[in-house]
Amino acid sequence: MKFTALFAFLGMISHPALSQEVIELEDIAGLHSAYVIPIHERNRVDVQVIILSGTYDEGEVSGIAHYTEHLAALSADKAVLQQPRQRDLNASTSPISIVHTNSGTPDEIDKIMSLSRAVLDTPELTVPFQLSEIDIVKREVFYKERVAPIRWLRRRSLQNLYGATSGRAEDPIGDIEQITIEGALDFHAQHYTASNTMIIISGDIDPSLAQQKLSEYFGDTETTRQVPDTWLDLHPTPGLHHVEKITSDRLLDDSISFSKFFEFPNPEDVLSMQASFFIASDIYNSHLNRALYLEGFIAQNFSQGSYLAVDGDLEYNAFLVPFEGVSLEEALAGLETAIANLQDATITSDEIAIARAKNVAYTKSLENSPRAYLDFFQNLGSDGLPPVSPSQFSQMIKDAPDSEVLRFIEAFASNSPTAAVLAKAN
Amino acid sequence: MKLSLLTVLSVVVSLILGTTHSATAQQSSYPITILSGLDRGQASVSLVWNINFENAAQERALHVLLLTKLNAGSPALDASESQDFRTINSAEFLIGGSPNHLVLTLLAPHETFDQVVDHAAEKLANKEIDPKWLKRIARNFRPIPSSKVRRPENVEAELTNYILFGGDGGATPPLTDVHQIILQAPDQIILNSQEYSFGDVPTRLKDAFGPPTTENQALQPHQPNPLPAGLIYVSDPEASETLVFLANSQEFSTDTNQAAADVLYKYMGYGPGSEMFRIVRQEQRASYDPRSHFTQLGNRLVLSGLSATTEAEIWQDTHQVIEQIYRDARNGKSTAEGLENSKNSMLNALIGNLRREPNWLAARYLEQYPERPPEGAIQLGLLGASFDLEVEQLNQLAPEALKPIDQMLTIVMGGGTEPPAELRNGNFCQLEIGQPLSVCLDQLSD
Repeated sequence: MKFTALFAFLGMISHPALSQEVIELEDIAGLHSAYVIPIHERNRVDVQVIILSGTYDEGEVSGIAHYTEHLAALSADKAVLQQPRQRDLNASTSPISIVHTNSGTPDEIDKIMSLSRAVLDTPELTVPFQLSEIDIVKREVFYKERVAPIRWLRRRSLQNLYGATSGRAEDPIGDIEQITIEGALDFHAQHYTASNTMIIISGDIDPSLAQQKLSEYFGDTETTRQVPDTWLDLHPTPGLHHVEKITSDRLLDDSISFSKFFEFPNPEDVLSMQASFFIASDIYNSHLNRALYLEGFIAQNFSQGSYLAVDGDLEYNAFLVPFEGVSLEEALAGLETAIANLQDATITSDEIAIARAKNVAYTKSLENSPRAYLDFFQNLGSDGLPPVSPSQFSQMIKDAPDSEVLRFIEAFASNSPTAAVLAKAN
Repeated sequence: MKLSLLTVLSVVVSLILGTTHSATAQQSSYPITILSGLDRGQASVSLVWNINFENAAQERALHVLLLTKLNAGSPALDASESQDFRTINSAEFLIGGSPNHLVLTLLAPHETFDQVVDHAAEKLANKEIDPKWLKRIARNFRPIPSSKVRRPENVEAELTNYILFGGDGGATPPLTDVHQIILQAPDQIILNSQEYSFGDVPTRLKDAFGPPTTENQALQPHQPNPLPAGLIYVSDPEASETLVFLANSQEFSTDTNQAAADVLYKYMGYGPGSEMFRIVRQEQRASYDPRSHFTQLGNRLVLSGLSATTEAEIWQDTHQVIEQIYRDARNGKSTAEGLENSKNSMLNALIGNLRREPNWLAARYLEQYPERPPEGAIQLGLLGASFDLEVEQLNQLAPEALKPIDQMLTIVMGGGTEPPAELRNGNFCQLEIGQPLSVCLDQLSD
């Protein structure tokens, strides 16, 4: 009876008010793929250029992907707008992709497409300009590292998990002095290629016009070699349970960064598994949140995140500040116990229904934010998978089989490799 | 583009003023005000307790207690179920206030609003306080000295508390006293929606509370503490970065001057088109986060500033550039195109607040009408002044809207060389790492 009000709502949120269809464009020249998502309710058009490589693809020097993103965007601005640095960069670099977004009203479609096409051209900027851009990348990295020390701790735990400082365990601070123009141009030549690029056109545009503009601006691109995701081969040592203890004056509170690698056995269709993965991660996150934070009072603050790679590899990261009177070691033990307890936990159908409802509510909450929509589109696109719209995702959430959800939870609870950094605030 | 923006603006203005004009206080033992600004499909209710806060610690204690009650378990739902309920029903609880008010706003879509109201009522009526939740929330709300973390947000928080309360400190009142305040029914209720029928929502919320046990206190007009002029310096030889923050508190004589200052600060440091971005970041490559600050703290009372975190060795250069940007804006040297863009930014922010931030609108309303609605139409002067502002006026208004630079407070925190003699000669205070800004603010104010 406690959940009367909650369940009463489950039936009311089955579909967001806006409905979006993702249409794959057929005439894509050398591109990896291209899609149009008409949303006629909005008087704007967004074009996302998704380079299917990111910081995991950097090789020995991290920070190169980020710097390349700056040069590509500024060079495009110079070519099309006649002036670089006229506007802020609407681009971002993640571990697995670099996304350049250009937006405007429907009648600005040609300018938007020109800017989008130009990021694939070799950056043409003066050497002093390119050198000075390294300075702002440095400032950005320093700023983000200082404001969010969680980034630094997570990096350390990932380095310990994978036994490396590159690939999945980048080191932007350590490598910052090694960033060079040549390194960026090499990265651009290797990764800003047509066959490593996905285009998503969304907003107030008809599919036929989107196809016409895509052909007009990207029709000259030629098929290139696919860039392999070599970082997918980097796996932790089986049975690894690494714990590092450090003391730092960069932290306000004692903190734990915890990383866990696990695999989904025999993945068949990673795209259709996404919904099950979202539901499952919500369930195991909720179990741990309840055990450590909401009811257990082991954690003062607790945040979690999971990532599913295209080959079925999974990575879980947690950040925990112990509750008053709880030591770092006790908090880590509490986290490990809570994960182990999931092996014997009974996951009820009610629990799965609540997790489904939370995910549907999340997609509905995106309705008022064009930016949130774009993030949603690029989420799967960054893996090279077809983008999914919020309304499609709602349906996928409804259709996800309970059995697959349970298999994800079972994989998470397994005794897989982990690494933890216990950081004492100085 | 400009035309469509203005069209949107005029629609919003008519919605706000038209609806409030027809909405008068209902005849009941407590005032109910109906505003209409939120996006369609959303509804909110703000519970307002009239309180003469004595210090920042008292205000903080009440915020902490409210959050504890809303987040901890209660007889109907434990903490985990409560969290799920809020996620599924897209419910938001927003806490705000002023030296005279504590405001809790519930925001939710129409289809779940009724359940969210009942959920909040059940939480607020619960007389038990979970001590562990209280400890957790209190820790998360503890004041963090900006001299330790060198973040502009922390500087702004400390300066806000200084202006409103004279600092972060003060005696923390006993828990039972604080709890008694919010176990009593709120003194006012503010409803906000374009078309939602609130029905008996106010009654259901009021019924969740016990009868008043203390007499309502008359609200005392609050006198802000102006920020002093001078330089506060925190030396951190280990730091590779330095924060430069040019700050100011101002009580504007007119709404027009406040709106003009808002536009001018956006011109100086809001977004990619601003002078701070163009010069400090793009030309000098000196800072990733140059920006302006403009926060309304009371009726025509604003905390404003310009800040940038820069490489430690060049902080003095950046400081000079920031001062020059300010002087140029005050001397009426701003470009018409930049001012036009900044005015649009100001209006967009205003519309965003009206449509999505019911706590913001409740605060502006309470600044004008602290205890009860007026007999006639509700007038929020700042809205009209903002919409009426002409770009052509702005350079002329600048000397009046922006204080002379020698009346500004400069805060420098981090590494690099110490301030030169010409900066230290005036009103100067050196602060140790970890000390609150109020130590120096008090000293400079003497």
